Amino acid sequence: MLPAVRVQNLGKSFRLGVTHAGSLRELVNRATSRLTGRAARAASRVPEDAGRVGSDGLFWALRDVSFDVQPGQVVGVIGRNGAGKSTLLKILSRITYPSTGRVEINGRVASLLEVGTGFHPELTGRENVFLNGTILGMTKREVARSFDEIVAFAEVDKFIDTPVKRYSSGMHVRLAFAVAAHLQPEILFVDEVLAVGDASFQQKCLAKMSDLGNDGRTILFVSHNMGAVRQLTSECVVIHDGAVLYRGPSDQAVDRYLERQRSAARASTNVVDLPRVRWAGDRSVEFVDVALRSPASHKLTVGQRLAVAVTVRAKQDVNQFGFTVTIYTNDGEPLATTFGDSVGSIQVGQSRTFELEIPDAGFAPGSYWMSMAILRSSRVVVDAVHEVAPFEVLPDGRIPSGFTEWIVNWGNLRIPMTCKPIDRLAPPVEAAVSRS
Amino acid sequence: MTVNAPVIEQFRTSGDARPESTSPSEAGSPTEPAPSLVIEPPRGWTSLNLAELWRYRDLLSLLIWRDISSRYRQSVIGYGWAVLKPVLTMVIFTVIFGRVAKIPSDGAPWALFCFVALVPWMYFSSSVSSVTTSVVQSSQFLTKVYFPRLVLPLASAAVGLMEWAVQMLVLAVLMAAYQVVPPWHIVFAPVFAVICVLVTLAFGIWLTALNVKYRDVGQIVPFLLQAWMYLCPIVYPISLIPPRWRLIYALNPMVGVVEGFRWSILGTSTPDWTMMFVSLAMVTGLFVGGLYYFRKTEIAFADVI
Repeated sequence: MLPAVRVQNLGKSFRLGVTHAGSLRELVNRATSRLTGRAARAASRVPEDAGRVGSDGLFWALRDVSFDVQPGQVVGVIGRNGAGKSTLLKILSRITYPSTGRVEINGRVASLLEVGTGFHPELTGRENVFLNGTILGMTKREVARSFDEIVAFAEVDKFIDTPVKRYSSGMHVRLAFAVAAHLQPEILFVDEVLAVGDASFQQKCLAKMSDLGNDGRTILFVSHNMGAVRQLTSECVVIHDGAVLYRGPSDQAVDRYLERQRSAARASTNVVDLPRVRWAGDRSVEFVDVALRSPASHKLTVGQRLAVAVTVRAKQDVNQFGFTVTIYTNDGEPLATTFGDSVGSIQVGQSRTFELEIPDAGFAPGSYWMSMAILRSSRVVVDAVHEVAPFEVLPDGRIPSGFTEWIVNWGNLRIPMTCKPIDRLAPPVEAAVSRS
Repeated sequence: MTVNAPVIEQFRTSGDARPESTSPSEAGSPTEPAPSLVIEPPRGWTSLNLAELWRYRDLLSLLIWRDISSRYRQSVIGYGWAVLKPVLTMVIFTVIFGRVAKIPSDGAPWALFCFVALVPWMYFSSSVSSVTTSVVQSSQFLTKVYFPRLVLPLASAAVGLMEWAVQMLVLAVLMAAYQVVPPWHIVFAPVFAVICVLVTLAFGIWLTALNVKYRDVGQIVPFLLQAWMYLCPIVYPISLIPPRWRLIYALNPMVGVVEGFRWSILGTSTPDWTMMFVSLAMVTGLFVGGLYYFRKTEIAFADVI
């Protein structure tokens, strides 16, 4: 059987130092620099990816990517931002062309890089469904055939003849996804479109995607949401710095990917040179080093404490300062924050190291990272670092029977609960408290 | 529990799908069919691929319809603007060029003489502007979905035809008011309309492809159009041009369109057919060249835009 998608030695390069959209002035500049033999100022723009810039000054967003997807497979594409996932998807969707290599596709293909492409605010929901459907490659007749289903799925039947500019953003997204969900391709390329809408709608989208997969559709799913990837896909391709790092079963692939991120973080715990977020302060006291001490493996089991060694250095005398830590999920959603007490004073030039400890907070299995800030006296942020001390919470035996993993929709905290039989309804607790 | 039910069900279904879908495929049979789509770096000549354009005709018609129906929404007079704009222009031109400057009009009533020429010209100038910006304006879906990009300028050029149709009704009313009976060669009017659309596309397709890379194009086009109008026989008859300049004058393809359209409807001076043929040949060349240039550059639109 022919693979549904065969990607061979695919590469895509961009010229650095030259803006793509030009004006006549840039055209003249380029012409003169060519005449005078002056090399284009290159490589300065993407310093962290210096390894992807060739000697010819080309930046390789993708290099030598090869993989096959068999018909009926649901394959995830994962990788950090800028790894080349989106470029890959754009090439597969024929939005942009490769510089090298070849892609063969067997079957009717549709791609979904965004929901609601081409929605026009002045047109009604009905009109936009047709417009959006044809933009995505359906014929009018095909849209008409699934029109009722689309409207029912989007739950906007009452407003279908209202201009979409009067829709709430939730309705807008629901209608847009509904159109896309009713494309009938054999092969579907999907980008992070599930990251929209409210939780229950996201769940509905995931279920719909899962249905499509079970119908024997071939799906290539690009996502940051490791939970969704694990749920939906059987295999994954891990893209790192424009190349395929790993291809295999999703669980291993996700582990590889997270491992890679951790090792990148572990390789250097020095955070002095880490780019600061916008609201970071004057750095009168600054972070020098942030290292996870417990668990040293970065893999946390339930009940284990979380401890981070933090070294700070003062550029000024500071009387009172303290730390605050926010835990983020791997999707970048803040999960929880803690504010520490003041740790005392520090003199200019002095370095001090602290251990910040967070007892078992009931994090659900998954991967997390932290952002930290130093607060001076009263809530003045003097320094802040983002995406440090990544750790993973391992699944344990306490996942409900019948499941092998923690489902995203259960949330990211596992809160304690006790259940005990009672003979009769006790008086409400508040009443007892107020009497005493 | 009701909240959890779909979660569990969905989890199970995706879990069940796993063993089956990870199974490797059988070895390829000796007679493998060719893949239905091959994506490769562009090289050499690109074909125009008009068959693909035809497959996307529903998108084309919906885009045209979207722009026609949304153009005058939330406007009180709506398509009345399609009438008002040329009528007001006609009044101004009649007063300035007809009454004050006393420019001859080949015997036709001045207002009619001017209006007949304004109809194709207004289509041309507004459509060239909108075709030029058509690709850049659709950048938000150009970077999100594949479709033959040629659909965008084609749709833009077609939208203006609606206003043209409305203006033809106004023209009929004007002619009735002036009691002008059209000659038999009014049957050629649609031919000149088609040529007008061709001229619009010939320029528009080049300009819209260039505008993706050099936004300066979008800036200069409105200015050029303003000057261009005086290079067409709209507020003056072609007889005012000295014969020895006429050949150069006819290099402007809109001269033939305006003159021919006026001739077919009002029966004014007969156009010079050799001149007409020269400008038609030029426009056809420009149009076909534009199609190839567009096809050749469209693959990079999403990177450049």
